[in-house]
Amino acid sequence: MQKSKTNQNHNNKVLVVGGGLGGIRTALDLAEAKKDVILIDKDYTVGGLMTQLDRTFPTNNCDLCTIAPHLSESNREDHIELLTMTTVSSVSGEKGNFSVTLTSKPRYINLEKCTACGECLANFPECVRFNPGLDHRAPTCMRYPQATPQAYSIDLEHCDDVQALVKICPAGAINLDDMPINRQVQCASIVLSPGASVFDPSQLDYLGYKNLPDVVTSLEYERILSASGPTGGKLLCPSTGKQPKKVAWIQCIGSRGLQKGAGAYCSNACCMFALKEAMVTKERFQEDIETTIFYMDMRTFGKDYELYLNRAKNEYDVRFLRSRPHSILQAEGNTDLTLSYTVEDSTQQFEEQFDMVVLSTGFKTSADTRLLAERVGIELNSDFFPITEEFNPVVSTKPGVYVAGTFEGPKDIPETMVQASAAACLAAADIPETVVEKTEPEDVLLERDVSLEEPKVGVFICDCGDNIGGVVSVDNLVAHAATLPHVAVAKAEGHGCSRVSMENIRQTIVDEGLNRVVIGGCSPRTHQEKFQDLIQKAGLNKYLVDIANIRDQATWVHSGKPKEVEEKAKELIAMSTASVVRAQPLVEQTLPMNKNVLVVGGGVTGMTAALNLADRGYQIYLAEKNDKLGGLANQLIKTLEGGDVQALINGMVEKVKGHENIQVMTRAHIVDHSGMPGMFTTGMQSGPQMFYNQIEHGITILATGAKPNRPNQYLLDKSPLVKTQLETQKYLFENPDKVKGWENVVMIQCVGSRSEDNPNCSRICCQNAIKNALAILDINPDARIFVLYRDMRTYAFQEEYYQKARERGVIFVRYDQDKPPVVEEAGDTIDVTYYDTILGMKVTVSADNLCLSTGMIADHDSNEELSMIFKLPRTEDGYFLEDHVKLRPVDMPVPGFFVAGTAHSPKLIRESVTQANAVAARAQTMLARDEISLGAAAARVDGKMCAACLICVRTCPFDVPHINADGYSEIDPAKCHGCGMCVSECPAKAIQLMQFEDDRILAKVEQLFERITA
Amino acid sequence: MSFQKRLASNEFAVLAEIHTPKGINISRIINDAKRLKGRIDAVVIPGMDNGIMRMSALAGGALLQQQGLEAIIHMYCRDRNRMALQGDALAAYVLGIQNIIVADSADMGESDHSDAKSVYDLDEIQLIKTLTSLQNGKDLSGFELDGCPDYVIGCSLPAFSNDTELTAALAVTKQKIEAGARYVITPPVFDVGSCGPALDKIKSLDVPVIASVFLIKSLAIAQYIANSDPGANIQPELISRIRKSSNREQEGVIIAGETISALKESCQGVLIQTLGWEHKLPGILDIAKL
Repeated sequence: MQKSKTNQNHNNKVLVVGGGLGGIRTALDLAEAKKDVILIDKDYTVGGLMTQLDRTFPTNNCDLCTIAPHLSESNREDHIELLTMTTVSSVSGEKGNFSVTLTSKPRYINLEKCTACGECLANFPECVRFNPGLDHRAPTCMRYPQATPQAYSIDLEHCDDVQALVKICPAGAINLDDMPINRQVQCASIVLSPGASVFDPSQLDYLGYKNLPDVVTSLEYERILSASGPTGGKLLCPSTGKQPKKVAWIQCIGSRGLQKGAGAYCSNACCMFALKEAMVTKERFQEDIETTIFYMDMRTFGKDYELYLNRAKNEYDVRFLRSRPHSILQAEGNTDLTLSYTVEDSTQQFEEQFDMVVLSTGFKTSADTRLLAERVGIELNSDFFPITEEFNPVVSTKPGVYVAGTFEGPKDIPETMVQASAAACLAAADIPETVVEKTEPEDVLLERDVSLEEPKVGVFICDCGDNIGGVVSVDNLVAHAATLPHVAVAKAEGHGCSRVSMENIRQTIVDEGLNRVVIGGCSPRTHQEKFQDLIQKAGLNKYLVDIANIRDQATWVHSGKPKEVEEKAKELIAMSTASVVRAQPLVEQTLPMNKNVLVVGGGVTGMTAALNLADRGYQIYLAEKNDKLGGLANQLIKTLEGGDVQALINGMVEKVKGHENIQVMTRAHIVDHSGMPGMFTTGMQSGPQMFYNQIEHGITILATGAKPNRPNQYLLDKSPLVKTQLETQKYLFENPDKVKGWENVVMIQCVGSRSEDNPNCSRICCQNAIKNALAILDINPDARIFVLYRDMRTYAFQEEYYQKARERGVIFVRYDQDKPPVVEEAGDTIDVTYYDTILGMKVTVSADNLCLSTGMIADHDSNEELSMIFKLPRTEDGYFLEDHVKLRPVDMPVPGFFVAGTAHSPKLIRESVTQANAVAARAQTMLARDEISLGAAAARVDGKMCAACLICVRTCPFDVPHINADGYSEIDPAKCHGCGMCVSECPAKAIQLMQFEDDRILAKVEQLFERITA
Repeated sequence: MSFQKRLASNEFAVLAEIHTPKGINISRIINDAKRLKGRIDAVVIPGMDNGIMRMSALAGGALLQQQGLEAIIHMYCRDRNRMALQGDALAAYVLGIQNIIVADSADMGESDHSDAKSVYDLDEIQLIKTLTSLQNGKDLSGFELDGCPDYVIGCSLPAFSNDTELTAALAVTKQKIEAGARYVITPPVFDVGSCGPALDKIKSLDVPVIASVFLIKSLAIAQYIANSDPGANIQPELISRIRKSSNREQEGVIIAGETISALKESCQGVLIQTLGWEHKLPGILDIAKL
């Protein structure tokens, strides 16, 4: 029973398979860019893997409430048709015109009627599906409280008394006649992001996972930590129900080809996952718990991930043991688990007891996704992940079919988000240009005129699961709110942002004729827009709602003091109520959107983004500070996988220069910037003449790249035998004859990275070393190559090249940061002396060539200046800092700004191209708008009070106020930025800032102090 | 006082450069000019000599004369033959423009129309001679003019990065002066402390020396000039001063103002180049106490 909003028989839409985080991002990006989407998921709710996580790295926040509002219904869904319990049966046709057969399983629940009240579950738990099924022993739990669709699903096979089940449903939503449905849909392109499964360790009997309840996978551990999990967030040993004192993590279970059935690749995210779990565990119990991670290499190669690792080591005291315990044993009658292991610099066997052992299980493709790949007709690699284009990982072998997320390859959430947006961009480009049919104007809900009504306030208070309800009594808050002046209705609303509660609130507003609303809940930052939309749907002006943030400001921060929390929550609600009573309906100003795009940086990233958007018809200004396009990639020859970088660059440069919608400015330096999102003006000086011109644009994309690092270490620039990996690659291609004469080559990793000066990992260097090592062996198979490393970080499929290098005899030797190799000139060779931990002695190699893996650093001067001019934040090491490191990895906090490529953090060309495509998709969500909303916060002058003293005229940083013909100050709301400076300066108090009027603020303050004195 | 009289009376002259638009929107140029009225002696309007196609200097000069400012326009040899040059020179005079700087042209390859044909019918020295000839009532073919113009002709000193180049630049400039140029404009001065010896040599040409002062808008621009033009002599101290500043825009303004102050004693005047940031000129003049 899912209604069809899109025209099934038209091919002007995209089919997105998989409703996890990635699929949702793809669908939302397309929908915001006004493209139609069919989003299908085989499960009965969308959300995928992330909804099972407790906290996410590297912020250790629970980000569910950041993403949850996007999952539930919103006005964007005008373009999205959601089909759950649905799979692809067959695909025919080609790019631009696919015909897909979709099969939906019966849910036996009418989605329109189900209110997720839980009666069926309470009475017939065996017939109702709600458990994600990952926790092999856990008690039942709802997947997450804000699930979409907010409805249950019936498992008829397990149901004995079907009729009783039907009767128990108060909404009459159970529909036994529900049938599997086959439907045929047309679409222009397909995005596959069905996710991946996790490795099942039960076949490995030496780990005891099958029999020992306290051996859990990392995802199960996550459920145990989660507030919506089986233990309600209490960390307890599954066997004893007691708090564990010692927890161990074992890395690389099912990854790096180690066990039977393991993937040959590295699963990419598990190191960070384990770090996070260990840190969250430490956070909960401090000194009362010990955490140990057994690992091979800590692979914290992502943006600022190394800092996270350092925090775990230094601040959280997580113990790290570079070792692989063979087995997990439990002595008869004991509850603790015994791990036996050896460590690097010792031959001794150690035994240690733990209360719980967490297996960091890696990603695996599932039979389902392999079948999907077969049905769609894309080719898979030997690991059963899709084969993709060498420089564009979201492009599959079948034109018009794109892949994203963990289905494409193992990865973490930010990279999934980036690929999802990138796939949206490319999929949208396949939609044939059609004349947009003028749709009937939507029924615009007329706003009720409330100006003559007495304030009639409805207060709705959320419990937000345990977030609020677990700390205070929502009923007490409701009872108190009901006593406040002007309050007509006070109600508890569970999860106020869930679909059912939203509808309840809307209905209450209409039924009771409310004209003001207070929500006692969470942060207006994440939820204000949602509730504004809601009251608009109820016929009220959107500015007649106020949110009392009783979660962030009361229950979260003072959770240990229930009495005081309740007092504070009551006060917050009373303040909001006093303020909303004085709220007036406001009108928002709009201006036309400028659809030009400024791309700063003409490397691979900038050019990719520019070409994508130029092909969609937008005018692009591409500003490059050097005298030619191509950036750092100009210095590269081949990728690890053998891709020809120069061919890529030359092709791109030619296209960019020839594109009628792209204006290239070289030697261009940005010098000034003004305006607002949707209408920026940026001044730059370009060319040898330093010609100054100003560009009008609506969007800015930062693709400024990074610099190759060149630290003054290990005789670099002092001996011709010492080269960076970049220089080495060039040398290999230009001087193969000389390479044939090399006997020994030494490579040193982490030169200038993971150090005090530059604490982060440069991400690209490990694979660079492998790439050059293999290239040297191709030329000179007799060369002995030593790679001195700290952790080999050949993530994802790079691991297979690492294995290959080892097979071909490359010698990998670990060194400690505090015992770095020593390098000396010795005539025609370079002597490299290192401490070999396994041999326990110093070893000297006379190298014909020393390659330093120097990585990348941010261009501090250039990034600092741009961040000053554009007013954008940066990370401590100088890269641009995105809005949300997890969920909005390419959006900057200032709307209208996006970041991609190595300006964001070091990355490979493939990854930069993906980010470039992603920013193009994100940019199109803004470019699809025709106007920009300026909000309602504008200064308004009361002419009767104005003395025309000119103070506002002088104060305004934007020169907006002027004295009009009637002799008083006038402020054009369309030009006003709403900064409030004139308001605070006006001596006559003749100016008010709408939405922040004095009386509203004062009402809050008065309310607060009245209660304190009382 | 007119620019000509300033020069004649050995008083410090203040010139500012204003560029014509690439397009027909003249509101900026008019607004900028209005703001400068009374604060400077004349406005220099470059043409397309730097290789950017834009509204001609002749039209720009005429516009500024209409606004009541004294205009000095660039003439150069790359784009016009001797007939077009003479015609424009006569037109300029009729439109009220008496000041002409004969400027060197950038290479066409560096221009934004790199496929355009270069003319170079005349070189700069010949152009100056031509202007002198017009003043004397005859065109280049020796035909008599019906009414003859009167110009104050200036010339630019080519950029130099060492003594050899300076000597060559001075030799060319000397010829220009012999041909009729009455003052010389130097390349931008960034380091007053070290430019003394060079300035002395330029002054030995025996015409008034006007030093160019360039507004540095950002660290990137300072670094760009330092890297691409060794003759600019941008010192590491200057770069680090800009880097450390919390308001780099204003720092550039202060630096330009201080440079002008420091040049007051050693030059006959300054030409302030703000390249699009003409709204900063009053601020620069304030710092320079002019």
